[in-house]
Amino acid sequence: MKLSEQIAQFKAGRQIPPEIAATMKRGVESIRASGAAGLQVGERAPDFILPNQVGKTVRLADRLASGPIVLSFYRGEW
Amino acid sequence: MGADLIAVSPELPDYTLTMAEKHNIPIDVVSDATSEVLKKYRLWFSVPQEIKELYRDKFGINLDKHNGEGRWELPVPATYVLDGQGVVRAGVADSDHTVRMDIEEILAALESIREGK
Repeated sequence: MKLSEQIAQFKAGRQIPPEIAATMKRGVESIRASGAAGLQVGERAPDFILPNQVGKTVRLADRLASGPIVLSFYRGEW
Repeated sequence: MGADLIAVSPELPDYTLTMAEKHNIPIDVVSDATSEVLKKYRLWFSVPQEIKELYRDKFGINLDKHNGEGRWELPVPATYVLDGQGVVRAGVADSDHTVRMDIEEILAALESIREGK
């Protein structure tokens, strides 16, 4: 099953209190209105240098020299 | 598959993973502790006040602990497939965090890059 299908199934099986669902919906709309829409297809990804989980420096440009990269932005371990 | 995976979060390095996970995970999990990269990628947002209260008071998610005191900042969850030149060949970014890129779509983009399309 595709991830999107798994998520749809998970959501269908949950009872979210209406006031929480409404708050979440307003939050999503407010973030969308802020214009945080990310990169477009065809755009060059900005380079970065950031520390990884064991403190080693990762530079995107260096990694791209070895081939394609899947880059994921996530909110956190929580 | 022919691609490395880099995962970026705004969490402080100590909070990204447990020690055991740190040494076992075969990908790079990097920490953008100043949100500079999230901003460059136009994914950064400040958590709206009512969402902050919901997360903190109802869900027990305290970003002060994960991201640093007062730093209620997050990325719109996003996935990008970059070719060797760093050009975005496919991607999904949605402020609704339940919308995520399907694995099949990632693999198709990588396949297309591999075939030189």
